[in-house]
Amino acid sequence: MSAAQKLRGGPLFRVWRQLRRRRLSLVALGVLAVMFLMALMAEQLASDKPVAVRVDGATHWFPNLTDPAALRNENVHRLRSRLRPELGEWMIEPLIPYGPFQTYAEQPTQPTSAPPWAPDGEHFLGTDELGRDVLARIVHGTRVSLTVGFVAVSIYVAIGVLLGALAGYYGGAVDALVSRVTEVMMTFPTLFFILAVLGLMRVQSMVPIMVVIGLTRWTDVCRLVRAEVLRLKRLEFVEAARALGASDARIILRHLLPNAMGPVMVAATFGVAGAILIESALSFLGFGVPPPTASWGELLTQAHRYVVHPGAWWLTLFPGLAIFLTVTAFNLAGEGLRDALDPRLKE
Amino acid sequence: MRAAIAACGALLVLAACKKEKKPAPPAPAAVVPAETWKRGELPLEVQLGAPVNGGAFTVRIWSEPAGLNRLHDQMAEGWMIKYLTGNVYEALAELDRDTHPAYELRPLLAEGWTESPDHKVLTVRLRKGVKFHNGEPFTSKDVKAVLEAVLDLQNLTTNLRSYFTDLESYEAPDDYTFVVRWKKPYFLANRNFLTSMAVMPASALEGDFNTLPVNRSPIGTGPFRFVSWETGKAITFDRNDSYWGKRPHLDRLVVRIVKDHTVATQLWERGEFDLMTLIQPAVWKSIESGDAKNAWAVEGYHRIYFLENIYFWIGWNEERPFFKDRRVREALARLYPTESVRDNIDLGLELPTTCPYYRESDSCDSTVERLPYDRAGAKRLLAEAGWKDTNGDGVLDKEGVPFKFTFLNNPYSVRMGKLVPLLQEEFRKVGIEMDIEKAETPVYIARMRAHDFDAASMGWSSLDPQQDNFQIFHSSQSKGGSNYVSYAEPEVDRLLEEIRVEFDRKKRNALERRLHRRLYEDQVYLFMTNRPYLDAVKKHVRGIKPSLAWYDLRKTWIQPSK
Repeated sequence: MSAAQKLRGGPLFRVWRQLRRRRLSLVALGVLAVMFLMALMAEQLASDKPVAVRVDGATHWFPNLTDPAALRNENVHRLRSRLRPELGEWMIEPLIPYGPFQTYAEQPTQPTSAPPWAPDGEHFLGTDELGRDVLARIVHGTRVSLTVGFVAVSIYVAIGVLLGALAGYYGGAVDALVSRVTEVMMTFPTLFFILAVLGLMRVQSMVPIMVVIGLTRWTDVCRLVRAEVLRLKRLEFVEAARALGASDARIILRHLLPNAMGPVMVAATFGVAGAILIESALSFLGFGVPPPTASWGELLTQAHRYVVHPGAWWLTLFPGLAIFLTVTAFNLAGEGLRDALDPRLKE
Repeated sequence: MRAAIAACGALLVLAACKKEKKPAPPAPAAVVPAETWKRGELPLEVQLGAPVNGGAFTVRIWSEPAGLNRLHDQMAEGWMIKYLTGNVYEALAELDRDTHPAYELRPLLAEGWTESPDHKVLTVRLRKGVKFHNGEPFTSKDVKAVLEAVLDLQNLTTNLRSYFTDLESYEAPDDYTFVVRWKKPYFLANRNFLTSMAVMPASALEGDFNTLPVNRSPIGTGPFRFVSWETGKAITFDRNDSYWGKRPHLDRLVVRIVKDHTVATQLWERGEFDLMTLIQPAVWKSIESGDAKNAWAVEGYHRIYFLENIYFWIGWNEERPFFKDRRVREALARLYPTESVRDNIDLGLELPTTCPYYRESDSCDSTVERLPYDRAGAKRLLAEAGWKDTNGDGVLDKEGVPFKFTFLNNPYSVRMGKLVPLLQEEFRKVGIEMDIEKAETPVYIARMRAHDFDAASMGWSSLDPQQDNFQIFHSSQSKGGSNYVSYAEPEVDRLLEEIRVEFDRKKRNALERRLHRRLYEDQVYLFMTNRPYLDAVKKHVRGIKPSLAWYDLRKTWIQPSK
């Protein structure tokens, strides 16, 4: 069997074939792909520094990533106006020529009124109350949301799979202990628990948020894996492996877990959506990522102050849409994955 | 609840979308506010007319107190002092609001008092025939009990106790005389004693101070008596029928606790408050537009703009290597964009200040000029102080230490939430890296007291324009006092000490002006702004007037609609 044939017949390919039939899931995956690109390329998409520039006799590549001291007090607009093409100077601009921290004090035109400013040709999605471009902040906020989502879920999948496998495989006292701990953990309301932990911590950053979500939400994964392992360990192929003299570790890692991962992946996909919502809620409450880091929830906090007097609908609409789209996309992808993995739904 | 709102962000969005698409109703005529309304001045008619008795008066208050015992440190916060003092609790004397801006003393539970020529003995004659809300008569033993509760080291009364560090003795020779003796003269000693001791019955102070029944249901001698307190909702007071003084006009006083400013604005728009307080600057500005949708505010309310005796500052902890040098502090002050902050963040409502005293008093030197926003000058000063970018990483350094510090911020301050990221950008441009750390109010205050911060912001306020800055700037007060930035300057110490024993107001003001100039030159703080009361009162409310000591609700009445 060639490698390509192996791939075509492999489990991943089967999942993909199932997924491909579900239009909604494909759209969701497309949205997620765009989100990932946004997170990866935030600086190329929105920055107050150019992607590349030749000015004052020096060429800078990616000053939007490196923030060189020579360009510290420059921004795209200022460079644009003083660039002299006749001397061979040039610039590659990011798609949105505003950085997420560029306040009203650094606007190309002198503002006539106090921010927030409504969407116009300059700021496509308007600005926040400090005059910072909402689009730039949403693009950069994607990174926070996705990082929190994926890291937190990775942590809890790791914990949940390990504990679930141990509990399911060994049963008895191990199972009892893990199950009781799981039940205790399930009683913690995650959001309040995180708020309490963050209250005790001196550093404000993404890390404790991710760690606490990771340390509290592993229970579902644990129960899923435990149930799967309980079911699988009685099947013949496990018996066969044991008869061949395989160690416990080998049986768990090579035979049980690969077969139990399906539901875990589904739970993880939903979990990312949940973690993103928690991060937004925390930022909304002012306990998320430290300022001035852009995050969707932080934009919504500001929006909360501009509901009616004065109304600033763009502060609610666009970050709200970003959260809504991402969470919906993850949930749809999760549903698609679940159906694709469900043997009863196979053709 | 707010978390739930965040989670439902998407739903809110959908609702917003629908709203947008509705066909616009026929545009009603614009409502153009009068100039006085725009300036926040009450029109003369509010003070005119024959008072009518009756009616309830609802005030929006932002914070819920931990308790209603005026003597207790953890309960006595700014707002509860404002609405309890003079209404429920009375002191021996009060600040006379009619003598703004001097605020002379006016007897309240005292009939009068005499001061010995050396200012060290105060003899107070107490008012006869005064009854507490629980029916007990008021005598000197109640004053004594209150003073003893404050002096008791077991009790959490350190704020008030600080007034009595120089107390020598006190006695109640008869039922209606009270005498206090001080070890040394101090210009505010008697004034503080007379105005700040909320008198309550001696019987109410028996038992564990932290769990007294009066902590929940206060007993005083004032024109309003406590009725109920629904936690998180409202505190209600009714007219005291057996009040010793002039009968108040209002039958009922309701303090509505609404913490969230957006919710408060919506309730206000629905007309639920007779007196709306703490209007957010953006809201204040937005209802000025003349748009018909603001008619409820323009036609229903008078706006009140009145500068409070409060100034906000940023403190640089001088125990840190960066801030000991005056030149660094001046450089940071030159990076504060005064004008642009005034226009874009304060919307022209808060006023920049340089003075640690009440703006309209003679204690401020009006010739002190604010440092300009000047990035080049700041850079020069930082270089002079030895902060240069020697390793080319874009961050200033000195003796191998990079200029990196953390700003401790209180998440509840909307203004600082906007200002600090702005300063962060300003500082970054000259090569100073500032991180922002948020801390909840109790943690925040504890860390300020422990000098456990690099930079932080606070406001100092006083209802009394006669104030003493000893506790804030004297070098001895960096331990246990309010000198959180550990400022120490012998000349300032000397001035502060002279001020304390100068009883001649003119001479004292001259010393205070020198102190003001010196403190600003030293940039002990980055002085920011004076904040105004941004309030609004329903148009049928009469006899109400803003003052440093808040509103005098004893004179307020409601004009019945015809």
